[in-house]
Amino acid sequence: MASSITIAERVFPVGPPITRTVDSFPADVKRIRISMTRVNWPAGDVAKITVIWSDGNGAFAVFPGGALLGKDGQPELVSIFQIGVPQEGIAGGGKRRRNVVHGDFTLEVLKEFTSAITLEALA
Amino acid sequence: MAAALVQSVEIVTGSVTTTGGVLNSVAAGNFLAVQIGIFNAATQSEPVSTPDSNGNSWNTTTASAELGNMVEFISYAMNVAAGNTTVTVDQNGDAFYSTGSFAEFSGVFTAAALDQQTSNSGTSTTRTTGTTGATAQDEELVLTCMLSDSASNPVGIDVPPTTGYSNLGIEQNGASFYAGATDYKVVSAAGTQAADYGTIASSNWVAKIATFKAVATGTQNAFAWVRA
Repeated sequence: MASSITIAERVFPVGPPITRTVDSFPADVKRIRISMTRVNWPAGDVAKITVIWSDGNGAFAVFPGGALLGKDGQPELVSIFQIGVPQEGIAGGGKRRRNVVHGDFTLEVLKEFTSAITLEALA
Repeated sequence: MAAALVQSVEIVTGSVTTTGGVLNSVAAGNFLAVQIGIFNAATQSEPVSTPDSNGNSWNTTTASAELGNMVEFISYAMNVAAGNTTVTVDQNGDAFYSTGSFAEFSGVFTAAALDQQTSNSGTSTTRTTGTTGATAQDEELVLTCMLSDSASNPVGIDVPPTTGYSNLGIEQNGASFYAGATDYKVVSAAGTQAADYGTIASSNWVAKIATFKAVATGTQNAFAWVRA
């Protein structure tokens, strides 16, 4: 996988969940950041994104539409979700990041919305 | 058998209405923990939905004081069922930011595990959890978390916060998120516990620490010796 993948701005209609497998990550990846531009998103929950790493661990988030204020008090233009590579304990104490080789990214459209979506691998 | 980390997942979100973690192949009898900082401009509430997808009941420690619409929570489930487990976090439909981690530990008591807890908050350059009372026994699992509304990037949170801790999750980007960290350590001597997340630009912050009783190291061997 390149360090980032961008899906150009388009309309995402309601429909069955869309799952894409990314089959290789940079060796030093520590986290994945998913950013979605908020192009006049309708009020209410518009999308659910689930990330499942190759070890079966993962996370999900549901993104609201409508007018939101960002942390800086300005209208929020991008919705962001970030998930770290799973860690595991090691014998004798301590921990390490697992070597995930792929991940499944599922987008469930709850309400039709328009967005460009960027997936970034962060070291 | 001392307490030990089995696995963990870190999440950081901008505005969401629901988020959560998925822990794969959780072992029967283990201990699950969610350490999470929440920014909710409305009313902050205990975030973890109970039961989880695997039927485990969740408990929460006392939430930290609210400051700047931020609250830190440490929630936990004891003696959990085996299997894949999805833990859901929400704020009763409100949009919220979150910075936290979902973790599975072994070797923690299967009932009445919570021992000591405290929290701290302030508007200052230093960030500490406060100091717990003395733990009731030698071997315990210590969980901590801290959340800040600093707009710096990077914020410069100390990782680990204090010698002996291991980091489960860290977000230093205060421009896009609410920066914060989640950490743990296993102690083998009774005493007070605290974590210091270091000195950074002054901002609002909230922090939480809790200790959980763990099975003493050597217990299994001792039983084996008696039986022999």
